[in-house]
Amino acid sequence: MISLKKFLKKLRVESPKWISAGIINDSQKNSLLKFYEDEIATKKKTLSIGLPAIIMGLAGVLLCTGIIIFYAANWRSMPPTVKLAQIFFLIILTYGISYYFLIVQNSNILIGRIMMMAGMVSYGAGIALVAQIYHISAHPTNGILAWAIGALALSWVMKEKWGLYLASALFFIWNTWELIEFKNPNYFYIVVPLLFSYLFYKVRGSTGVALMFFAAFFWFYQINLHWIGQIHNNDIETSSLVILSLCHIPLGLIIIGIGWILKKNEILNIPAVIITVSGWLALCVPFLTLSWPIKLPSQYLVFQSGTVYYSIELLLLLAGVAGVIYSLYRNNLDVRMHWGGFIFTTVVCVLPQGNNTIILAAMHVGLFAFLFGLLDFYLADPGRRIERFLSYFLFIAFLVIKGSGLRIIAGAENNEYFIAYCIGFILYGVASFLVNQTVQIRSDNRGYPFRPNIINAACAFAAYFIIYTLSFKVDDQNSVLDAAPSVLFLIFLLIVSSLALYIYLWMRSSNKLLLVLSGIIFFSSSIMLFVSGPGVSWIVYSLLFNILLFVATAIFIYYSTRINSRLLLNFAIAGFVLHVVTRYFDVFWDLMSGAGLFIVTGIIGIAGGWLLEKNRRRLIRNMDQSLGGTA
Amino acid sequence: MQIAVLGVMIGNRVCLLDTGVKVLLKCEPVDPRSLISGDYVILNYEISSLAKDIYTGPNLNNLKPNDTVYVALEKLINKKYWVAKSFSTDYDTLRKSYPVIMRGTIKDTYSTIRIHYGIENYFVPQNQGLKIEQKMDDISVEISVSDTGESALSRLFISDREVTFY
Repeated sequence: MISLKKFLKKLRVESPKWISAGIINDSQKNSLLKFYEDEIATKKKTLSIGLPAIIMGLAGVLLCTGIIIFYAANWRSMPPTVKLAQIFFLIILTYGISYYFLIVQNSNILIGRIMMMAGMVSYGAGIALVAQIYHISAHPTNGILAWAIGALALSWVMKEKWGLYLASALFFIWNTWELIEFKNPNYFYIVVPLLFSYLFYKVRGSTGVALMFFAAFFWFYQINLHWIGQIHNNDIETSSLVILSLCHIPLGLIIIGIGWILKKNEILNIPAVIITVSGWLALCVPFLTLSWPIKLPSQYLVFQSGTVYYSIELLLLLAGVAGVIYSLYRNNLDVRMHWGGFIFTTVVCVLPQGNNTIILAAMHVGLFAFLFGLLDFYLADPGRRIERFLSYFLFIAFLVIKGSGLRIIAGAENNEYFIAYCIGFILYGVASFLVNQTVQIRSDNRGYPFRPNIINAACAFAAYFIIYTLSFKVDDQNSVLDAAPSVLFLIFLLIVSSLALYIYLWMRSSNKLLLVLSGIIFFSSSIMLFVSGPGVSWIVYSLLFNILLFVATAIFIYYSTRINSRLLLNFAIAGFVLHVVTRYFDVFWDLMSGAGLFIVTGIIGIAGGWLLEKNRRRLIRNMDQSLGGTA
Repeated sequence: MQIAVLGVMIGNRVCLLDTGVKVLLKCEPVDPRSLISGDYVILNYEISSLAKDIYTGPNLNNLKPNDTVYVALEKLINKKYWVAKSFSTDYDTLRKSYPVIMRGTIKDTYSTIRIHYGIENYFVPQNQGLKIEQKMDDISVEISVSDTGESALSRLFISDREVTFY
């Protein structure tokens, strides 16, 4: 939705055309402009915070800080009884002034509210003062709790939004302190965000509701991590972490559902956005954590010895998803993703989750299904802008995470499977690209807006980056066939799924060129995967991957001319230059002296640059001519 | 309500200081610290670290941080300071043999059991911590201990002379 200001600007441009077309007359135009100008002015007035209010607000903060610091200083010349008398007097005075302005006079509301806050802070200072005078240091969180309860009680009665912020912050400090210092899981802390959400809602404090959502989220982790902290058995701890990770799917779905339902609420539509985004991010957790080759302790993890709490939690969350699906139905909202997540989690619960091959395959199938759903399900709905943005963002984020993760594993732990891991990532990138193409065909058929090139470009960049990594010298490699069964099965799954998608897309797609070009990278990478192994010299790898890198660059340049994309052309040429420069220095660094190398490089660079730029310009000219011809 | 809360806090302390058994404890030096909430000196007592062999409660190995324990104090003949004679998680058993019991919370359980009693901080006027720091080797405090084991700091001594700031 465009802002009112932008709309008015557009109206000013468009309205003369409407007059010329005889749709409206001059007076109607003026009335329309005046109507929106007035609306903007009113909105400005409502939103604007006057300078005096800002100064008074700052003064209030200074006053409260001053009170705290004054009593913390523990003035030597002031006996404790005098200090206690002062603090009692201060509490009564500040609340008295507040009462006078808010209730008796019902004017100078801001001063009244500032005085009320000063009173609440004085109360806190009073608690600290008593602790100071009587040297109380046992369980200091009790003082914070007493302060929080006092602030809450008054804020509740007076419907004071600032006081609610103070009280909720104090409760949060109390909870975190209890958790860290005294290892108290604080099961009942959840009451605080729930109660405060209600209170903030009553005073139209949407930011407060959003903050309370995060406090509730924090509570979820504090309870679960506390439980895990109590486990002193590695196998049970790993199993519990796997189930906790799985819990994020139903948890995310519940949060998304709540976000969608709250979006309809006038006060909560902004927190609803934050809640929805958090839900989607939570949903990604198991795909991020469980889609790697990890060692798991047994065949079944759910409802095994030591995992009962987490298993019950998972079941309760699944029941919660069922409830959310019902609510979404009633609100005529899309439930496809919720059903998908519900079924997927249930299936994973039934499968032997401790089998690394099964969990790895399940998580990748789930990940691609999730990304496909996120891209495809919400294209037609104009109210699902968050999902559309996240579909691109998460697609690319997973590409980056998978690429970096596999690269790290390959480099750090499994150097003998370096090529296998890197090509595994190329296969992942190709599969991502094919999913994207599938969504494009579906969106074209249905006439929905979709921008496939964002993800296409990300996949192309990822493939280029990994092939570039492989074009350097690599250590001796093991055969991929000697890799762990889970890794082999995953590679098999990626190849078979990609082939199936190629066949599907070949039959449906009108843009077969892109399929052919991506197919070249896919097939040559797959062949390289099985060629690598013991006895193969690094020179063979280097030669083949350098050829593949040139082929990839040529593909990108060729495709850029076919789709007339200057951006892609520039990136492809930059990639080409990077490749040539890298190889040049690889070869000549040891052969020439420093000065000679740089002089020769400079001369070659100038000549090469000139040639390259000449050809780049020619290609762009061809693109422009082709565009002109088309037009 | 807020005034009442403060009143209860003060009343509880005044009552404890007036009626509790007065116990003199020897301190061990620890550097003073200063926080925004006011300067204070951290006091570490001889009874803050207890040997495991004076534990008389059930299952010593089950003791863990944040557990509540009770420490029996006794004043030795011809000695100034009170010392820990025994400790346990069971208050009633200790109470039968010892008149003064202090309640504490376990901080850690390594070679000795480290216990906090809630009397480790002595708040001092701003910039006065240094004076105490210089005499750390010769500090003792008087505390009041209630029947339930609750304790409160009443007086601080340096070389047997009470430190007063007001």
